[in-house]
Amino acid sequence: MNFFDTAVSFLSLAIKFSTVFLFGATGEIINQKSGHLNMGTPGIMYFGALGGVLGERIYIMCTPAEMPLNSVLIVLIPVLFAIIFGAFGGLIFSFFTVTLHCNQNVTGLTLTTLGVGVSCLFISGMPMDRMAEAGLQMQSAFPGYKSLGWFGEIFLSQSWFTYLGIVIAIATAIIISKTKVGLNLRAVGENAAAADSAGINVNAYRYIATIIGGAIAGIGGAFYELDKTKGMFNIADGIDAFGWLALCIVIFSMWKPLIAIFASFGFACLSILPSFVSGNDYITYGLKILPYLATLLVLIITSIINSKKAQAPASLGVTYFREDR
Amino acid sequence: MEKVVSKEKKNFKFPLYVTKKIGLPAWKYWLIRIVGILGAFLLAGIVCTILKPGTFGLFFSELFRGCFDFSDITTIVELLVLTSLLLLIALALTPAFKMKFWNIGAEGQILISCLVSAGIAKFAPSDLPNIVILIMACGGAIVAGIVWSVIPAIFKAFFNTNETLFTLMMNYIATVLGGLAVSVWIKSGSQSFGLLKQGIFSEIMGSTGTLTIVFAILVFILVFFYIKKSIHGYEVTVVGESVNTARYVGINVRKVIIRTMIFTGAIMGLIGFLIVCAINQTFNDSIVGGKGFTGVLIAWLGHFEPGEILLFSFLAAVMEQGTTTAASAVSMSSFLFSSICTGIFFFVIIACEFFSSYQIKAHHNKEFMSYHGEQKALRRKKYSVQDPSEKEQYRKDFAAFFITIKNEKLEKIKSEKNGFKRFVKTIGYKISYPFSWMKARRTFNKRNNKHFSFLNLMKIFGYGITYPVFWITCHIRFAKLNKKAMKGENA
Amino acid sequence: MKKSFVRTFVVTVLGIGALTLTACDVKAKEYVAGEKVKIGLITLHDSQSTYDKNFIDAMSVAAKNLGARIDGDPIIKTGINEDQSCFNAARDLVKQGCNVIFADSFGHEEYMLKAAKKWPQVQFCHATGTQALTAKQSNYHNAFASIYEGRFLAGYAAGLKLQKMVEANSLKESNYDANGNIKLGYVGAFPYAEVVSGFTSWYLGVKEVVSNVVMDVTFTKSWYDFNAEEAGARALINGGAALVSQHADSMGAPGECEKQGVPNVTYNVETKDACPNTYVAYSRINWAPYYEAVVNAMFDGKAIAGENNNNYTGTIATGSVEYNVADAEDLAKVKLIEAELKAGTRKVFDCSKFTVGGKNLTSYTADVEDMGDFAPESEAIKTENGITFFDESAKRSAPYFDIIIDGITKLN
Repeated sequence: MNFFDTAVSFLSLAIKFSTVFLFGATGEIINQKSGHLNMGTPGIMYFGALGGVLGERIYIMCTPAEMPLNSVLIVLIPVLFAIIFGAFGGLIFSFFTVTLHCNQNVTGLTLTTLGVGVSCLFISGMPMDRMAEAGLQMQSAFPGYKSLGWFGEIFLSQSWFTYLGIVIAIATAIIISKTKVGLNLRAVGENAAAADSAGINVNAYRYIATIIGGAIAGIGGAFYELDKTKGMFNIADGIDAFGWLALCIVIFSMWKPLIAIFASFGFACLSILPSFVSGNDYITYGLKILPYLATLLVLIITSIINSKKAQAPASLGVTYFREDR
Repeated sequence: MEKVVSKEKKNFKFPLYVTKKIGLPAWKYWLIRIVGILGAFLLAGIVCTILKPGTFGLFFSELFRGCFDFSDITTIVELLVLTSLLLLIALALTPAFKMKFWNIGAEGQILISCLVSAGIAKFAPSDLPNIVILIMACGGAIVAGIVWSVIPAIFKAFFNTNETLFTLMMNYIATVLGGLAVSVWIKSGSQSFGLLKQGIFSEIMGSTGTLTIVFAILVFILVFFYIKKSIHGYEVTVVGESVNTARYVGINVRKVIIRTMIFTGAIMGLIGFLIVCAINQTFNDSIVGGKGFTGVLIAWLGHFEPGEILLFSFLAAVMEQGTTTAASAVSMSSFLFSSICTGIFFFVIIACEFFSSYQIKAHHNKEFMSYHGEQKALRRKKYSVQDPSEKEQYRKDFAAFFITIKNEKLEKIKSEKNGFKRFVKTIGYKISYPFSWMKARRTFNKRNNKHFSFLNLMKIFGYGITYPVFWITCHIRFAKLNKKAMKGENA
Repeated sequence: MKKSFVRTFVVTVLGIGALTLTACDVKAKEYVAGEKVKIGLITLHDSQSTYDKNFIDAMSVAAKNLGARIDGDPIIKTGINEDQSCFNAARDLVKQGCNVIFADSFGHEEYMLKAAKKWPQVQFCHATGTQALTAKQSNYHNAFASIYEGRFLAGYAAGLKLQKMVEANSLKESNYDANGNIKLGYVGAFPYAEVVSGFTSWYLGVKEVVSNVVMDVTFTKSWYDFNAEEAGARALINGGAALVSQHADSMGAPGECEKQGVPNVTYNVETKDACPNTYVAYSRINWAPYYEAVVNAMFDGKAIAGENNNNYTGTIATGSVEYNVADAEDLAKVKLIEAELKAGTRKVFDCSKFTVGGKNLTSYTADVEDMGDFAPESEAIKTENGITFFDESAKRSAPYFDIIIDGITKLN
């Protein structure tokens, strides 16, 4: 087997996976910057996938049988639904933690359990008619690459989701670090009581941050589902694994979206490496452990160094209640 | 001046706000919880009916059949085994949670113990007696559990590393190690561990996991005394309240953290050993099946109190076992259906937790509040309902009366010489507390000529039921009065 | 004081003991021939998985055909993992009065066997298992089908397609290896007999038509892993495979083939609609004839037709092996080969058609008994009708051809 060809296909697959991770990680970074340790992100990504499949189904249902399916709408509408469903997931989390003052870990875990179960059930129950046609239309949204050589295959054959993901990550980084809104968000995440006395509406920031974070994570889930099945099949599994690794990436990139772009790529490479490497079991499983070990190491090192720049938001995981002040 | 005005306009106040509830009487607290639990089961049934129309009754009948089939003792034993398992997990987590050490790594800690005990049970020389293999497997599992639990503790103690994220990572590392173990140990391609031939428990009352119940009872008593009566428990509570206070008092916080996690790890080891050698007698990387996370939820819902944890373990077990049985009757995948219902169950209970600790109040202006107060007093007279001051007086008198009765009983118990009898009598006293309270009430009412009258009950009931209507009409009347006043001013 | 303590303790223990005695464990219903049969089915996943969907759909077909012979609809428990929950599911089915219980996954076997020993009145029929041969439990059965024949025929159809590709000059230089052989690819789950038997029979089918072929096999180490299967297919295609087939339960490999335009032969699922450009042929096991055979045997009070040592191997003749080919002309040609297989004039594992280490096999001991010692003990080569061949699935229903023949290379 040509090593060069293998490397090229490896890289292009890695970039595709890293897109899913990047969406999940960016969404989770926004959540965590506001102080919400949202362990429901895997469930929210699943919700997004469900939204994507539902959106496709609705679009197909609303198009009369004679009209051909539009290749732009066949992707746009699922994404729209994915955003709505992801935002809804974020809304549930923030409702339970901000308004009902529940423990964040508990809410997150329950949300993930429920999200996985509900989404799997509904995605598998989707009717399949006109799926082949939808699949064909969806292919054209993912441009072909054969004619562009190796550069084209790696960099230009990625769907526009990848570019969108990078744009969103950069935008998030800029907003968080350079704008007033970002500053307020960081304040809420570091010390909610102080932010509250400064006049920042803590609850509003937390709600909106979680909703937006959920929407972005939902896009990631939908992208994975649409890309994997090209809209043709109605199977969904393994999306929550992406969610947990996205959480790892958030820690690994020390809550900085720009680092998350590269961390997502690295983790994506690690997670697909076992399929490309032939070797004994120890190598395969060793590669599987690597992302978690790497995250653990970053966690340990940053807490040893105790540098302010690399720490988690101080109020991470703590619910803010004004009367406690 | 203008700027100030515009700022006021901009501050939009949401009409409702949340405050902490103070002094909620125990019975109300439990009423909310019971309503929540029943509501959770009801909601699960409704969801089931939505997914598969017409199955509402079937859902509940299958739920009961799956859990409480009295013609088949094994069902109940299995239910108790599952309860015991969840109880053990939640109990193991309790000391750590009381210390505000958010250990969500139960899944991984149990799995690594399962791995070690499976390995020992499978590869121990077969000429050793079964009991020796069991003891070895148990010991190995406990060591593994302690190791896996103490690593995050050490990093938290010395470097303040976030334990939630740390233990989460340890979970996944454990899962990968589990997969590696299976593929290395099982040479044949099918990757199926198969049933253990040695190092297993035999069947008691139809289930191999029956001894789990015994262990659960023992650990329950152990954890109860550890948290409530021992010095360690006291130190754990203080650290949980405030680390600074603990340091000030002279508690070595680092030692407490590490020691508590060793305790957790040991129990996790026991759990892993039971899962492999008793209940399932096999091993694969999904053998814990999410119970670690469920245990976290149960511990939290039970407010880290062993008694409440017992209740919630039982309910969660009923939910899981019942929905697994119901799933096939309503033609759904057992695993998916059971996880959806368990998710709904926990969400409803979590929501109800809110109502027992907080209340929603509405912003009202002062004038309306005083008008509302007057109207309420008039209304109370109409319905011959006691007003708050009367109620307060009644409660005070009754409390004094009841205290004398309680003290008599406690005196009797104290005078009991035999320690064991005293213990039994104390338990009896605690169990019969509600009944003695009711009896005291009856006696007190008779003495004060407050007889129970059905008419009075109906009046109180009517008062409560029509309150929302009253509230609305009060608002309307108040608005009308305001309009009149404004008109009066203008005129 | 001590006396009363002892008294209460003794009373409690006696009470629990009495409860144990009076409470009975589940008693299975005795079955008498001629009564309506109540069926239970245990599956690993639900219809979302093509593997389990195959079993569940076959059960509906069988239930319809059996009509009045069965009692109500079959009770199907889906989502049952390969642990104690399988035993609990079997218990519940016995409690609900089932007379026969089927299960579909390899890992269910130990628990089904345990249940069979506990309730001898109920028949336990486990698909893909291996222990019925040695367990000597009269109510415990294993079943499989001669799917190697189905794969051989599907491979033959793939060979015909490959031949057309060669004649139309549509193969690239990368599709040929250094010796001028055309490369094939196969995505397998685990490297053991069931999978080896599958890919070898497919390879031999292609080889029948186009003799200069070699095959690379990559293993995903999982029955259902979409990403791994997709990556495996991609790796094979990048390596120059002109045709790809797979033995794994997701649509990862067919999807990847469709994306890259490489012809694909599937298993369990006909991808005519999902992969219109690359679907060549498919094969699958149809379990309905087995289900019907079991229930009819119980109803008539006879032994299960075609069963041998509690092992049932369905064949093309019994309708247990099905296949289809996309191209109608090719289908006609394949049907001729099918007739030869049925007549016995052609054998799939004909020893003259393959070599191991450069030589044709005359004798081979296979590990049929699967006692966990991995020691082969049964002679598998037979001569019949003038052909020396590996007699697959004769001694035991689950396949035991685990030889890597010349021309096939394992990649991992």
